[in-house]
Amino acid sequence: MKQYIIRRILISIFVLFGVSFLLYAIIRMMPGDFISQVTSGNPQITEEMKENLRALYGLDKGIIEGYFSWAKDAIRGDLGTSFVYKQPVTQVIGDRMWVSFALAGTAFVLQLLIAIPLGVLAATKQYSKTDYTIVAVALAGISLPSFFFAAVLKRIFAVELGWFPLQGMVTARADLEGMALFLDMAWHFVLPVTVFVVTSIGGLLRYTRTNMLEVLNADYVRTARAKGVSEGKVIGRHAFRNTLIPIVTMVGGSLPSLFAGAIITEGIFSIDGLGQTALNAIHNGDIPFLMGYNMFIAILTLLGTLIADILYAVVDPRVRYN
Amino acid sequence: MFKRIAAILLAACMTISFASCNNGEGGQDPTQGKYDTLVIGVSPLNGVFSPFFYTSAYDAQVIDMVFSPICVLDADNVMIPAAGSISAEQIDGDNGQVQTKYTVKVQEGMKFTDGEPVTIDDVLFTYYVYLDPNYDGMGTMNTLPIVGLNEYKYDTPDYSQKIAEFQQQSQNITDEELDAFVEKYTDLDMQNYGAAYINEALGLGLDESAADFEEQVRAAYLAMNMESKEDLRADAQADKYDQLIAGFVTGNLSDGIDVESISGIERIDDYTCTVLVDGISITADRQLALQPILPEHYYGPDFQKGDLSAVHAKDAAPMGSGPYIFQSYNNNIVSLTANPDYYKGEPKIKNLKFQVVSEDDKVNATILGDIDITDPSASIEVMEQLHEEGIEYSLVDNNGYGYIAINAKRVPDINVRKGLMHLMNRGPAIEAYYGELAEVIERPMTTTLAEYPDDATEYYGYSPEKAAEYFEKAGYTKDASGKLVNSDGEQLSIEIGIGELSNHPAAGILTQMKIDMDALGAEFIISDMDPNVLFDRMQNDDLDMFVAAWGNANDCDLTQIFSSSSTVPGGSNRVWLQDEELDKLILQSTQTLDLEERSEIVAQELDIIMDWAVYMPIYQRKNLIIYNPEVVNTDTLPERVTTYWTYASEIENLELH
Repeated sequence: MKQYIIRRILISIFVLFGVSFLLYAIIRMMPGDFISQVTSGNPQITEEMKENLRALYGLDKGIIEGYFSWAKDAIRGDLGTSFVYKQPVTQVIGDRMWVSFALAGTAFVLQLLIAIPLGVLAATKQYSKTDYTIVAVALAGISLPSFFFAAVLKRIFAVELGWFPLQGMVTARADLEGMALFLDMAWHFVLPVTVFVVTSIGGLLRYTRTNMLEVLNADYVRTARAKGVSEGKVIGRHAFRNTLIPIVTMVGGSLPSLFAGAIITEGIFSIDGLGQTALNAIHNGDIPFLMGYNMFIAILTLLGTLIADILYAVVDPRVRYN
Repeated sequence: MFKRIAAILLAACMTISFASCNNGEGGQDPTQGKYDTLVIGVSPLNGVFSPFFYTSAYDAQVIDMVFSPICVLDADNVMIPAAGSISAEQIDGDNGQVQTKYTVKVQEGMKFTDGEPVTIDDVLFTYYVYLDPNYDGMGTMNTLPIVGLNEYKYDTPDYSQKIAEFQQQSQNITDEELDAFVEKYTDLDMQNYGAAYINEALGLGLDESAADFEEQVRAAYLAMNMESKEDLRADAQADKYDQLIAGFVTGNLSDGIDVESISGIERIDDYTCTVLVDGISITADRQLALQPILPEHYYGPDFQKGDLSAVHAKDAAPMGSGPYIFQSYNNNIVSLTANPDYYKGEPKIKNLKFQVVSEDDKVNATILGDIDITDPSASIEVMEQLHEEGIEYSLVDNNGYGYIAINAKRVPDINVRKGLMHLMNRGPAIEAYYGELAEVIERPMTTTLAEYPDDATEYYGYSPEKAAEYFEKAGYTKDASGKLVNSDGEQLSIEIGIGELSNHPAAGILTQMKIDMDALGAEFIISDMDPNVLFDRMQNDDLDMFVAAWGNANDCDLTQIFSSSSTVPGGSNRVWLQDEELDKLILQSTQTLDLEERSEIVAQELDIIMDWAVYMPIYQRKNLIIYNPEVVNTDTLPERVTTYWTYASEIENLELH
């Protein structure tokens, strides 16, 4: 196992190099750069000034040269300073990562809590009214575009009913601290979390249902039933445990999405998370931030698949990596 | 199971909402009226609250509250003294040319919010950061011809001699150097555009699946460039000059600092300094005085020429002598508190917050009472909503304008350009999009400037008949199939680039143009593209026409937009207007201090530009500022709110209910 993990990590390093070069090349090939973005529409900027600024921001270098100067610093842990935010990239990511994580993490836990029981329920009562209702609602959730669903929620619960805030992270007018601040923030996160949960619950739910159905038709479940084991025990002990195997690996694989941030939902609710920040960085050609952010996601993705593979071996005794 | 989860969730939500209700009103002080906190809604912030380095207009709103500028613009765009003053005096320089000596003063007795006094040293520090050779912000003070600035920038006392040498050297390009440049140019394009794109764009017709496809494209492209290498000679010269200069600057600063200060900037006493600028300029006083004063002891103890890292370190934590003191920026909210020592008097509102609000929510968040003042984009629907909900507002002219441009390099025949101009039916399109929120303008300049000729009349009225006449003059006639073709049988074909066509005020104009061009037998291609792509293609002279807008203009200097010198690659004259007479007038106008005289010159400039048929001004739109009358005492707003003078200009007098 140890050997396997070490080998995977070594391969990952090579993958990261390839990924970083591709990303750098693609980002540099985007039309327009940071300087033309921030100076556009300003009639006082001279051409000489723009050239000078490009040199100061390192935008006068070619792609290959630029990549190696980025990579040289990145290996030493220096991801550079964000053009837009004027702070070290690691700090920009670090500051916003936890906001995105709070949102996505809460939503993820709720998703698990709701999707797995409902999936199991739908499977055990296959082709019943309950099953059809659960599946139909789940499908409706997957099919709803988040921007649309968010607008509907805002219209009903913020503008009309006034139960939840329209947007933002905290109540600006009140200077809250400690627990009150936490609760205020939680109150602001109810609608965005609802958007996350409703629009993404369907995938996990259907996954659980399909797996459960497969297990329920397995021979050992039939044997258990034939032995006269109660239905509750059959589902809870024999069937559900085996359904967990693929679900656990899926959970491991969703690690990057917990930190990556949600571009649309964060934007609609004015939440200062990584998704919204990344979108702004793309608009402005903020190369250091985009590189740092994308590498962060790439590392999380590699880590996520590695964790999923390890978990697979942990939960399924049949799998061996040596 | 499900019921239990639902119950827990519901209970959690209710606790949260109760908790919030209890705490929501916590910021109030009963002795001070109902409200003591003003919440201003802003679009997403970058968190760069440094006057030197900010790039977003919303960061600037926060900065304006923390710093006091030397002078400010009044409601009519006239510069007036604020924390200091500026005066000018013309003198004869050593080289026989006229120079202007500006005397900058700061008020005595002002304090920064940490208690330190404001002196002229802080102003000088501010200037030196803006003028640093490695200054990487967007301030344009370093474009001023300040005496001694070049010597400082290039860190060499014999600057002019060096430059002359470099110019001389770069003019003499050997054939080997030219060939080397052509190779470099080819490789750079290969790198930037890729082999596949070049193959397609140049119609090389090479097989992409070939193993040495890239080398084949490079060879073919290089051969093409070599054939026309004389065209690249000017680029090669510029490249050599740039390299000499670049090597020169780094070479100079790395061997220690030779020029410590700018000879034209002189400290007179604790509250006065002078700045000597070559020539006469209508913008120099603004560049020097519309600047906030930054405390040297806070931003600059470790500031050294060429190294701005110590100054950058304070980007997120501003400190100045303005009406408010910066406290924090987190959770998308900037918190500020009133400065009791503000030189115009302590602001009446104790707490000021800036909250990030997305553009679509600005109006609703104000109606719901989450925010009190904000600036949604003005549209007919928004205005109706404001009237319905009783939200108060100010409409001010935006200091910019929208235009449709024709690139004269791509459409060299002035008759074709004039024909196109006559096909632009601006009135109905702008009326339909903006209603009363914008007006059609007749010259390419914002009407917020005093120099805009108010009596200007329409230059090219909408008339397909006239357009047809001009196209005929240009040699285009209808062929048997009804196409409008020239003597070579080529159809008249024009491509126009526009960003976000689906929601653009000029969309109606373009649609009408397309219909009329089709009827005339010409081709009119409307290309809807991402603003970045539009900008890129415009810069590369890759579009016959484009729709864009200028903003941020508070003077009438047209050098960057219309002078021949700005047609260089990357310059702002992207319509290739090259007119000697105009160049002279532009130069003259920037040196004419008398407004009336200057207005006459500007009117002549604008007529020449119109006659070139490269710029069709479309609209002057209005900006909207809305106030929640439940919270803001709108009687305490400035009497006249204009583009240059808003609630923020007199924030210390604003009161809440």
